[in-house]
Parts: sequence; structure tokens; C-alpha cells
Amino acid sequence: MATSKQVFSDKFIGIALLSLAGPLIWVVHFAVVYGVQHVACVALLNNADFWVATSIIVMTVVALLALLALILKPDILQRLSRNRIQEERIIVFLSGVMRTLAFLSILGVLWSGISLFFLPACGSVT
Amino acid sequence: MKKITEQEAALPNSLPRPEGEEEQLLRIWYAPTGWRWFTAVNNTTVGLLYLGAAFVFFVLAGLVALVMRTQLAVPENHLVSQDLYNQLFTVHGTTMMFLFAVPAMEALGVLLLPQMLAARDLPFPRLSAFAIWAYIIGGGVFFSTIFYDLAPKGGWFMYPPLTLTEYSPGDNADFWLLGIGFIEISAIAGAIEIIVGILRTRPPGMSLDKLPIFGWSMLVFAGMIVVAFPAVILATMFLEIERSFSWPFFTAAGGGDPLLWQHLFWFFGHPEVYIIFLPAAGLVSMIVPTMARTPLVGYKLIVVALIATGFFSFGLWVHHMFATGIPSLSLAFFSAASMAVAVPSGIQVFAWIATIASAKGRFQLNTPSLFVLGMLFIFTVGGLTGVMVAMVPFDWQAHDTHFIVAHLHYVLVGGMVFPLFATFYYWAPMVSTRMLSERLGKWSFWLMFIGFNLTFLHMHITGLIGMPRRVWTYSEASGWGPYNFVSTVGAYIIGAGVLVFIIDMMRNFRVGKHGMSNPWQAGTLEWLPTDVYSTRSIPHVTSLEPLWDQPNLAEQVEAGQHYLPNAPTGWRETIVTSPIEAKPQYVIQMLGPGWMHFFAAVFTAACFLLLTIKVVVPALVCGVLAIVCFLVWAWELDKGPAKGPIDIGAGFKLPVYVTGPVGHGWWAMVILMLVAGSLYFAYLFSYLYTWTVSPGVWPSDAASLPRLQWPVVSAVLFIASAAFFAVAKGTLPEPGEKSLLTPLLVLLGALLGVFAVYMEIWCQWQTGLRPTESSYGALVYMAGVLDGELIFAVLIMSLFVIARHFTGKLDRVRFASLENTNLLIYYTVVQALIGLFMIHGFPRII
Repeated sequence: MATSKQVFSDKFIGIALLSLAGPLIWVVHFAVVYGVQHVACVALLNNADFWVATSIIVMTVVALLALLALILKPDILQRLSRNRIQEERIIVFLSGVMRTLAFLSILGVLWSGISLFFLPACGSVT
Repeated sequence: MKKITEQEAALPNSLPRPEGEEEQLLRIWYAPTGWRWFTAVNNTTVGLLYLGAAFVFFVLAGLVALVMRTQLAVPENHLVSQDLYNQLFTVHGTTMMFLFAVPAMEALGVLLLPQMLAARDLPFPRLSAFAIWAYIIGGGVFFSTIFYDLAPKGGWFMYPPLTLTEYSPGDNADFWLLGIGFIEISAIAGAIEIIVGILRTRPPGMSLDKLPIFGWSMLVFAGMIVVAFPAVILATMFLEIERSFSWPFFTAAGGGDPLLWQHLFWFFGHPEVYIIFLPAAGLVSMIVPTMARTPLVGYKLIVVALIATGFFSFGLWVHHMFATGIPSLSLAFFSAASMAVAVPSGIQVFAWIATIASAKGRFQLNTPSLFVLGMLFIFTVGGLTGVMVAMVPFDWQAHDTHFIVAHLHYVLVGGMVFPLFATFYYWAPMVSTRMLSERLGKWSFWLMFIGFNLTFLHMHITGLIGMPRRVWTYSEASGWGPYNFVSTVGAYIIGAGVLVFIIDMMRNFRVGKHGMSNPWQAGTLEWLPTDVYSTRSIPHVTSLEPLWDQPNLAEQVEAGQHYLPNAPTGWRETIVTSPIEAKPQYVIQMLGPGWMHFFAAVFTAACFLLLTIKVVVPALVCGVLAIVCFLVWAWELDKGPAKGPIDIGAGFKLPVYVTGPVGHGWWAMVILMLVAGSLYFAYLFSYLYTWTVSPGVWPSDAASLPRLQWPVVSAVLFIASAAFFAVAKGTLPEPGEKSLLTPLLVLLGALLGVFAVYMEIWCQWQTGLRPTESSYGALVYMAGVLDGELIFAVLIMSLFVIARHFTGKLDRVRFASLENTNLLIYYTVVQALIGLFMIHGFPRII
């Protein structure tokens, strides 16, 4: 008995990573701003404030732009999916998940990023 | 490849089924009884065992809580000693979190998922059974320590320095560290099973947009376990090594930092709250539409909310460390994440309310619904106080008071216990031949609901007027007496509610081969007619609620008119489908009942527990016996392609053996690598964090480091090791032939890896660095320990692969065991190279 024509594969990992791009960007932003702030405050001492502020602002802007791109231009996922997934309904579903996750991630990134404007870079108020 | 619409047209297959087909299924999928019951692997048998054991731990931990509440009922009480009280609250918290909450959810995964996905079983049934027995044995021994004055006393979070040997001598803390570490491994085994099961054993047609919400929640739950649990495993390794061998990870005098424990523990501990809550939320999302007789409002938004909650929950760990003196800006990042996570949690609550509202009065108010409504109230209150403690200034006031005790119980009991009781009443008919009693169920609900609020609502005030957590007793002058007395009365009322439920179970819960036939008129597949083989045939799914939208589906499935109505290989089988679209790919041949997973669990538990009481040689003997059991078990896993391809119906002829990224074994190994990667990430964090705390113990010049040639040699050996394995795969002989080159390359590859680890440790030793002298030394040698563990696993797997080759079970077609070994060595080499760069490069850079 011959096997069905080929073993179907839908390249799960690439599509999953793109669908989860929003929270993944949030993870990277969170890790970098926390990591940079923690290390810079120990290593740079007097110059730390400038570098902490600069890196947080840059990272926040970059992350927000990337997240906005996911919301406004979801074509990249749709292009990747169309080559791998036959049913349009599933592409629409994954694309919707990606965009909504990106929107929620904007809240997380924004809330982390703006705290810089209210608190000292390295000091503790305790 | 056929288009999906062609299968829809081909099914149901109304041709009569051959005689004896169902009898063969019954014979193959039999559930052992008597003394062979221990060998059972059927998901309903082991799932019920798992759930039952978790419930027993819930009752035991609840009884412990009653003793504590009795002690606190009146001021200056001496019912129990201070020392015993410390053991009681540690065992209560540990048991509820590690032995009840997470296992109960994994148990529901094992029990419900195969039915919801209409799979014959999860893809690694013996792995589930192993995880369950390991948990029962390890959990049982851990809990019993309370009876021998051997229970830990450091709280469920076991903060050092209190838990270091100087302040916690004896074996009490070790029972926690080794016992819980072992149970975490069991949880990870279950998580791997759940991830592969959900992504690969869905029925044809059930694409991701048709996956039941419980499936989504369990997917996120298991993914979170994979990322979160390794951090606490590493932390327990650090603490146990410090206690046993004096490597100063947490001792400030040696350059360590007790706060490192808090970081690692809460990186696990806060997501743990959501690990517990998300599956429960998934259960509620399944119950509400059935009771409202309408599809769930906002399916896609709930999927998004589950995923977002899973991610954001990892940015909350310092939420528990606001009072530790961390810089304000760092606190703000975590405070922001604490608020961000409230948004997706809110989405789910509003979706449930909207679904109930859209029922327009058709919502059925029965026992499961009552528990769901109770959950909505209690969890929402817990969520609101959660937002309060996410505010740093408020947290400083409420930290370590009974306000926090009230908050966490509102979150956990509302977010998990009430949904669990709703689950008991809702899904009991799936496995029981009788419904649970509505009358007793309502009594149980009202007693638990009133009792709970009587215990915990005013506990917020008890905390705000100053009563700290974990105090054994208090003075009358404090004014806390009346509040505590009411709390104690409430606790006994909760106990009465649970007792009524137990009576209901004893009177009405009767496990049979067949559950009841969809008594709630639900729309999902777990309510299809089943027997020991699960469903008679595996349905083709076209909607989110197939039983509502596909007329006569239950009758067709029961008549064997859908996929795989038989057992063509003569083994236990289920269909593997593609992870996104759920298109049929191949058929797994699964293992049936056996002793090896049971003995593997017994000997692994014995090894850990004997190590705890420092009986080293018998512990090592048990470790060896456990490895032997694993190998004997694994020997049967790879059954080869001989019996395929097979016809599953609707024109599909599928292979029964695949390798590479399509195979479920490959997926399990990749997830295991993610676990190892997460553990190593926690190690790298620990290294860098400790440096920021104690840069003075790091080498100040390159002269005190090993010469660069040594790490280069070590790196070359690691890379060569991986290369040997890669070449070995290319030298595999044709089926029926043997080649000495393949086993030789595999053996050499493994030995090169061993030598590379030895070289790394040796070159550090030559510089005079010792792991006991500073946190730097401890972390340097820890890298070798972590690499060594993996290389040891590679060595054992290599010997296994070589044995398979010489017995004719490894060739160019049948090479899954070598493929998995190769994956592990590739990962190990990448990890080791990163470690070498960190250990030898970082001190040279700073």
C-alpha cells in the first residue's frame, strides 16, 4: 500500500514565532531595560544616569515602532502563512492573534518605558 | 496530498465495519486490574489516579490549615508549639502549591485532553504514568515528614539565609529541596506530554482556530512550566549544594547573595500563580458556554488573553521583592508588568460575563455554574487587591501582613479551587456512570463560598491593622483576636463544604467503562461516546463545537464511520496531525501497560530521598537501577516502520514511523532542550547578577584565570564531539546490515564530550580556584556541573544507541534514537560554548 503523497508540514516554528512577535518584543524590551539599568548602575556609577536613560528611551522607541509595524503591516505573517497554510480562515485567525498581542504588548512596553520620566535612574527611595 | 474538503466528502464512511474490530480495540486498550493495575497507562486510569492523589493532598493541606487556624483562633494560644507551627505553614504552602495545584491541573490535562481532542491517548502514555507515580511517591514522602518532626520550617519559599545549614541544621530543609526538585521534574515530564499532545494529536480538521479553550490554556500552562520551573530547579540545586558542600551561592561573606534565591524562586513563583490560574480559566471557558447554551463570546480574544497573561506573568517576579531595597526604577518596570497583566485577565472575566449575558436568561444555574459564579466574585476581588499590591508604596505597607494572606487566597482559591470544584461536578459524568448530587453540590458550594469569605474577607483588615504573616501566636492587646476567631470559624465552614463534597463523591461517583452520554448537551468532543480505547473512531472536526454543529457526529463516531476505527498495526495507535492545520501526518504506535515506568519512578524517588538523608551508596544504586528501568522502557519505544503504511479512512494511507521535525519524539526532545536552555539562562542570570552584587570576588586580572589555550582546547573537543555524532548519522547502514563505523563514531563523540568537560574543570582546578572559596568559584564550577549532567545523559544515550545498532534496531531508516542523541549533543555543545565564553571571556572583558 502506498503512503499518501507526502507528509504534510506547515512550518510551525516560523509561523508561531511571528504570531507571538508582540510579547516576544515585550520580553526583549523588558530584559534589556532591566538588565541595562541593573548593570549600568553597578558598572558606570557616575555616568550611569545618562546611559540608562538613553538606552531605555532608544529601546522603548524601537520596541514601539516594531509593535506598531506588526499591527499596521501584518503582511509578513500573511505572506509566510499563505505559502504554508491552505485555509484563509486560519491565516486570518493567526494574523488577528498577532495584532492583538502586539497591541497588548504596547501597553507593557509603554508602561515600563515612561517610568524613566518619573524616577531616578539608579537611586532607591527606600 | 488530499484537500480537506475531499475528506469531508468521504466521511462518514457508511460501509459496514468488519466483525471483531471493536473486540480487537478492547483487547489492545484493556486497562489492567488487580496487582497489574500499577502498570496501567490508559489516560482515564492514570488521570483519575493523578487527580485523586492531588485531591488527597488538598484535603491533607486543608487539615493542616485547620490546625493553624485553631492555633490562631484566640490570643496567646499554645495548642501547637512554635516549631511545629513553622513546619505546618511550610507544609501547607508547599503542599498546596507543589502537590495540589499544579498536579491537579496536569491531572486534568491527562484526563480531559485526549477526550477533548478525540485522541486515543496522549503521545507518551508511559511518561504520564511515570510522572504520576514519581509525584505520588515523592509527594507522599514529603508530606509525611510533618509526622516525624522532619518537615521544613522556612516557608514555602524557603528563603536563605534562614534555610542555610547554619540556621536550619538537620535534614528538614533538604526534604524540601530534593523532594520539590524531584516533583518539579515530574511536572516538566507532564508538560512535555501535554505540549506534544495538544499540538500533534488533535483530530483531523481541528486547526488551531478550532482548538477548545482548555487546550489553549493547557498549552500556555505547559509552556510556562517549561520556562519557569527550571529556574527553581537551579535554585534548589544551588541551595542543596551550598548546604551539603559549602559552595557560597547565597552567603554574603563568600560573595553570594540571599536575594539571588528570591530572584530565581520568584521567577518561578509568580508565573506559578498563572500556571495555576490559566488552566482553571480554560475550564471555566468550557463550562460557561455549555451552561449558557451559546458559543463563548470572544474566542480569539480569550486565546490572546491566555497567551499574553503567560508572557506578562514572567515580568512580575520582583513584585514579591518590592521591600528588598531594589532601585526604584527597577521596581517600576515590574510594577508596570503587574498592571499590564491585569488587562488580559480582565478580558477573560468580561468574556465570561458577556457569554452569560448573551444567554438571555437561558443560563442554567446548577452546581458547576454556582462554582463558576463564586469564582468570578472571589477571583475578581483577588485581582483588585492584586492591583493594589502592584503599587509599590501600598505594597510596602501591606508586605508580609495578613492582607497578603487574604489577597493570595482570593486569587488562588478563586482562580483555581472554585473552578476545580466546578470541574468535578461538570466532568464527573464523563468518567462516572452517575451524576454527582445537585443537592449536595449546592450545599458544598454555599458552605465553601460563605466559609471562604468569612475566613478571608476581613483578613484584609487584620493585615492592615498590623498582623504579620507566619506568627505563631499574638498578644491579646493587639486587638486581632476577634478577627482571627471569625476567620477560624470560616475555615471550619470551608472544611464542612469539602466534607459534603467528599460524601457526595462516595455516594455517587462510580467509575465505569462508559461515562454518561453528554448530560449537559455540551458541544465539545469529550462528550462523545467512549470506551477504554477512547472514541470508536476519530472524528473529522469542522467547528469549535462539533457536537452542536455536526449533526449525528456522536452516532457516526460510535459506529466507526470516521478515522482509524480499527487497530491495523495491532498496537495502541493514534493519529498525528500537523500542528497548525491538523492535517493527518502519520500514526503513532504507542506503548501499553508495563512495569518499567513504575519502577523507574520508584527508584528515582528512592535515589532522591536517600540522598536527602545522606545515605549515598544505596542512593547511587537506586539511581543506577532507575537508569536501567528508563533504558528498558525506551527500548520498546521505537517500533520501526514495518507495519506501515496503513489506511486510516477517507483515502489516507499514513506511515507508522517518521523521523525528523515531523516526528513527535523530535518535538519532545526539542521541548526538553528548551527546558535545559531555560535552566542555563537562569544560570547565566545568576552569574551576572552575583557579579553585580560582589564584583570584588571576580578575578581582577587575567593572570589568575586559566590560560586561553585551555578553553580553546575544550571548545574544540566539544565541537569535535558534535561533529562525530553528525558524521555517525551519515554512516548508518541499510536495514539488515551492520557497520562498525557508526558505533565507533558515536562512542568517540560521547567520550570527546566527557573529556571536554573534564578539561574545563581541570584547567580551573589548576589555577587554585576552589568552589568553596567564593561565589565566583561556585558559579564557575557550576557551569561544569551543568555541562557534565548533559554529557552524562549523552553518554548513556550513546551506549543505548550502540546497543540498538548491534541488535539490528538502528539503520538508515530507523534511527530516531540516534537523531534524539544528536539533538541533545548539539544543544549541549552550544550551551558549553556559551558557558566557556562567559567563564573565560567575561572576567577578561570587565
